[in-house]
Amino acid sequence: MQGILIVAEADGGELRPEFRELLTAAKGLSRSIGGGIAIALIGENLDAAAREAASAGVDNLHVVEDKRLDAPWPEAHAAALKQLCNQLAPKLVLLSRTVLGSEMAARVAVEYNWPLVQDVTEVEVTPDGGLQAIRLVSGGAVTATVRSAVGPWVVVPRPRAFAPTETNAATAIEPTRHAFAPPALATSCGARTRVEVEGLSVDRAKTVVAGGGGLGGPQAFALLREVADLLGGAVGASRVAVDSGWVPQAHQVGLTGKTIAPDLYIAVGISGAIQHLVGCSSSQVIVAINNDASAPIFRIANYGIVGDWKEIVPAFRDTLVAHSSQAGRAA
Amino acid sequence: MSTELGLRLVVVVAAFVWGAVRFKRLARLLLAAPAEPRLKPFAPRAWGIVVNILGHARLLRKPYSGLLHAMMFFGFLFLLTAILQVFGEGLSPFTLNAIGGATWIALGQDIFGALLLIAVVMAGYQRLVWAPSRFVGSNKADAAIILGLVTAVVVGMLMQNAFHIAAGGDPEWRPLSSLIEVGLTSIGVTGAAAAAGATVFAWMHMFAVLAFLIYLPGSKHLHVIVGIPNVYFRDLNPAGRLVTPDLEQPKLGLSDIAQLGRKQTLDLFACTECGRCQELCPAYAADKPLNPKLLIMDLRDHLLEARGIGGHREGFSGPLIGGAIQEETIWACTTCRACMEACPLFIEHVPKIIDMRRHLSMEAGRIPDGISGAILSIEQRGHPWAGTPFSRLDWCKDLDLRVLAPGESTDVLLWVGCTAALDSRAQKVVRALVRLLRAARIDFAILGEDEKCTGDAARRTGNDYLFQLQAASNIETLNARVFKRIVTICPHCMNTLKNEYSDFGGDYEVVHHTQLLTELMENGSLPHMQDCNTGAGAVAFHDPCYLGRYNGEFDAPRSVLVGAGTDVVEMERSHGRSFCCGGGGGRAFAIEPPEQRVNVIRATQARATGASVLATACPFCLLMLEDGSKAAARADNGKTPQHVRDIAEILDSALLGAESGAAKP
Amino acid sequence: MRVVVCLKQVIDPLTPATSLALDNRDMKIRVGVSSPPVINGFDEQGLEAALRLRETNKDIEIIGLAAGDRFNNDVMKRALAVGADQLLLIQDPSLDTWNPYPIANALASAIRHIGGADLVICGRQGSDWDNGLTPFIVGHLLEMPILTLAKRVSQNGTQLEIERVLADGSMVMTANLPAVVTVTSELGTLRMPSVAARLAAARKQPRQLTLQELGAVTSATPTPVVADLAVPVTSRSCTFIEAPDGPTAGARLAEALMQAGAVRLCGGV
Repeated sequence: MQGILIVAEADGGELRPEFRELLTAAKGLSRSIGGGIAIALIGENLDAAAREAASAGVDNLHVVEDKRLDAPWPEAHAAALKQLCNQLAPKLVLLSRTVLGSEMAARVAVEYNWPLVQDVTEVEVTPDGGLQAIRLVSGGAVTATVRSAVGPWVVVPRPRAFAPTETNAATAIEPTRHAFAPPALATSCGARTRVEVEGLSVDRAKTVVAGGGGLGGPQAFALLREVADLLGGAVGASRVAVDSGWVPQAHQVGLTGKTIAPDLYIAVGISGAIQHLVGCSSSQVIVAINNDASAPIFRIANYGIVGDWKEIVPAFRDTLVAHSSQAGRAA
Repeated sequence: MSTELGLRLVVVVAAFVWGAVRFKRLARLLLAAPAEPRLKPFAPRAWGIVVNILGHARLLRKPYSGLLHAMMFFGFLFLLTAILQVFGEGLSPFTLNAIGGATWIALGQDIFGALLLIAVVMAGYQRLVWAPSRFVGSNKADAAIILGLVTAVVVGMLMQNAFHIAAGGDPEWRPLSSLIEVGLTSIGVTGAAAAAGATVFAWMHMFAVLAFLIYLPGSKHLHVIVGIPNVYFRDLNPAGRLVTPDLEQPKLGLSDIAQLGRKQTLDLFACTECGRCQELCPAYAADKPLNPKLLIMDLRDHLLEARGIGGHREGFSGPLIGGAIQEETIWACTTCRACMEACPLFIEHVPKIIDMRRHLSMEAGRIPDGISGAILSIEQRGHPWAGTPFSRLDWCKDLDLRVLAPGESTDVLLWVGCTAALDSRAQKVVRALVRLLRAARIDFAILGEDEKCTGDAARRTGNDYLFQLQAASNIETLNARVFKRIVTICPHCMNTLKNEYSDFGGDYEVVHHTQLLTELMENGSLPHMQDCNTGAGAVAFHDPCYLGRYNGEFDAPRSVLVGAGTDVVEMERSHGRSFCCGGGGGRAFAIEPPEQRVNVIRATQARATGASVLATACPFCLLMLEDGSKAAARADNGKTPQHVRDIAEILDSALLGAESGAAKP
Repeated sequence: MRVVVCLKQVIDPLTPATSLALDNRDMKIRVGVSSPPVINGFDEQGLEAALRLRETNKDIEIIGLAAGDRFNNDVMKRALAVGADQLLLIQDPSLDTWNPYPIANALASAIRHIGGADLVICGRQGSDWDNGLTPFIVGHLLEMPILTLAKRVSQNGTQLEIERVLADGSMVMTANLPAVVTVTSELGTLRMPSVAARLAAARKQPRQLTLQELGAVTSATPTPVVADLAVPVTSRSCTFIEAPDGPTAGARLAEALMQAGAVRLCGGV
């Protein structure tokens, strides 16, 4: 067995950027794991995605394209991945911690009885040829160092734990295409409902303004939307806000939501339960606004205001508005 | 027998029968209700009638209404003699002359008759001209009919006597009747005509009385019969002590009107729709769907509908909860008891609400979201503050406090309470108290991690099962240790430990921290700084419901404030009329619609005093009013919010000044 | 129809961090006795899913099944109080582990031992180790299809249908029974049991099963070994913006962020 296989996800023909973080991790590991780095691309209508992946600077690109792989059908995608694993016999498989990627990782690991390490912030090969990684447990309250002596391994890094590799090679490699030949699949997909997410997606934005239980209701999110728009960012939410029905799940940041690492994360009325902090603690700059001085969010914040968001955020927005119109006039 | 006499007999008998049928239906209804143990002890119950019925104690809190009612009450009491006469003398040779029927009784009838008429005018003026808001929702037609009937009775009596005098009767001892008689004579009504007129008005008098008799069972005026027993059967338990239900019973709580206890049912018929409860209710003031007066009226009309007895408003068929009474009404109550404190006839609004909550919580499993999270948290981790970053000893880890282990003893056990232990704002209060206790050299200790929620929030939101589990656990913990008394900063904890744990084998002497601090100032353990210039300034004081109305303690907090050198400013709603902060009855954990916030109303009232500091004596009041204070300041063009501080913090600052590190206002 | 709901007893996820103790000898996370455990929140939602299925199909038997060590029966019996017909507990020190394989093996063996199940419901992950792997191992061992992240579970005869949560919406998925399903928080909270049900549950006893009688011996597993446990250190220190009132603080914050270059203005609205 040799080589590192990165599973890149495509969504509606577009290559999701998480694979670049996996590439960084792979590059680090490829110093100890020989056999090159390959990307697996599984889905439908993958031409554009394949072109981009082909220029990412890896050694091989394996494409499994089939209309059955259009929807994020975990069993089918996992079957395609297994097909590739059977053929390529990688030493290490890297997947992104998305809804689909996590499940593919679990299915493959269980099927092949391979060690699986998820949510890792660091991973390395030990001198004795084993794998060592650090991951968060207990909702994020504790870090555990885990070791596995024998591979092949399935590794799912924590989103944003590895900086994305932005290189684009001058030469594009030729993809190897594989026909999708799954065994009988036991599950089926049906209708898909997309919830229209207003504005930028929370995991793509460089600035996120997030609201939590302290906002008291959905109306407050209109104010956050204004601030987000001023800053060219997205609106996020804690699990409390989503479970209360104030915003759709797509905005959720946290352990069972999205893990994000924007340049600026503003948490309004979010207490900072550990399950939320794990979703945002890698942000560059964190600002917390909360009534409660002992709220855990302040422990990871760079800037904090203890007070009532109803008084603070409108003034914050107004100051930004005043400056942007000044800048507009000056320009 | 003359035809007239015969006619009178027939009418009287018919009226009595009709009235009896109507009364009997109500009596049957009452007897069908499950009995409650309210017969004894006789003496205090009977004394209550003297004070409240004869003495008009609660009624006179509104002097105008109290006076007019006294006039009507004593008027009618005296005019029972006239009723006796009109029936007795009208049907037989019966007369009261032997005991003064022609002398002082006659005089009294004239005087009280006049008072009654004046009272009717006063009542009419109040209803028509002043139209106070407490009558909104009351049955105005009923009130008009009653006033009309009262007038008819009195006018009937006076005119009957006047005509009787005109026909040659004795005018002595009847000044008013004589005066009327003079008028009659001047228009030539004498002799036989006058005698006929007397008969006519005797009939009117009698008819009016009979009409009253028949009308009474279907009117709020029934209170003249029901009021006295209702006062007798009132709850003599401490206000903060709810009845402990037997959880093994097949039905828990109140979901069917047939389950309503006998005194609780009697309440429904004692209600005069006076609205004193309504005008004091904080939930009603905050536009929540709860009106204590309408609650009682709705229960009454639902019961009448269920029993097939007519004469009530429409729309009360269907179930009790979800039909007659909405769930949101049941949950809106803060259990502040302002309604019960004001009610002149001792109607028990809060226990009915809690009983319905018991059904919703323990049988139906339907509880509003915020509250259910807090209750589940009490069950899972022994406190309602899910998500707190603190454990129970974090607030004092630098204070080197003594944690009392089983078997150990101390003088005073400091019961910290969940809020003071786990909320960062409230922690400052108990830390201030610790400083004060140390300054006074009190021997005290805490329970540490073994202290669990008293279960008050569970009980007030209807989950008596969880409450009893908490009680059992805490009592086991407490009984394993030795102490003289418990002191706590939280009136809810104090109330439950003191008044409710006795049902489960826990009898403790419990004081509120303001009571202990008062004692310490009085015995010199803490200095008294009245008249010292501590710079503390004017302080408005908010009486917590569970300390003041529930446990009768209004003075201790004020003594401490005075002893801290402050000038105490009273709000209009203070002492027994204090306006709730909105936190009781589980509401501190509820998700409040922004336009229905009790705490903002109270904070606005506090702000209007002009004092820069609002003093509280309860951690829930502290949290609710701090939040309310900010909103009130925002509404006041964004000026500085009033500072809200506990009395312990105020005293701590005053006494120990800068070294204490207490928060500055 | 038999529905087995897999339950895990976990440390209360709302335990304050100060109450957690890391045992670096046994590689376990522990709490003091004053912090009672709870049933994993997602597993409670599994119970709710099963109860909702029974609302439309009365002919459902619900069995709560848990594998672990040192069970707190009061906590676990909540499953009975809300309406499960039986509670089976497999208790063994070897099951106090982060390794999902012995746990899944025990669960699958117990399901075979009781004669199988038509539907196995699990929470999506345990709040202690957040692996989310156990349901996949159980499905693999029982050779059942696996449907995950259900916010709605419904049954059409022999077919099971779920609505699976996606990052940007949801997708209907189906499989034939018997199947394994995992549920996620959007499904809704577990209903409150009535007191009558609680009292009845208090009188019932869970059925105890041993690994020996299940023949659930777990040989070598691929799970990594925990070599160290630590509390993550945060290196940030917070600069608090002080101001006499909220609006001033808000304005100052905006200034501070603009000055630090953390804010990019877009002339937005």
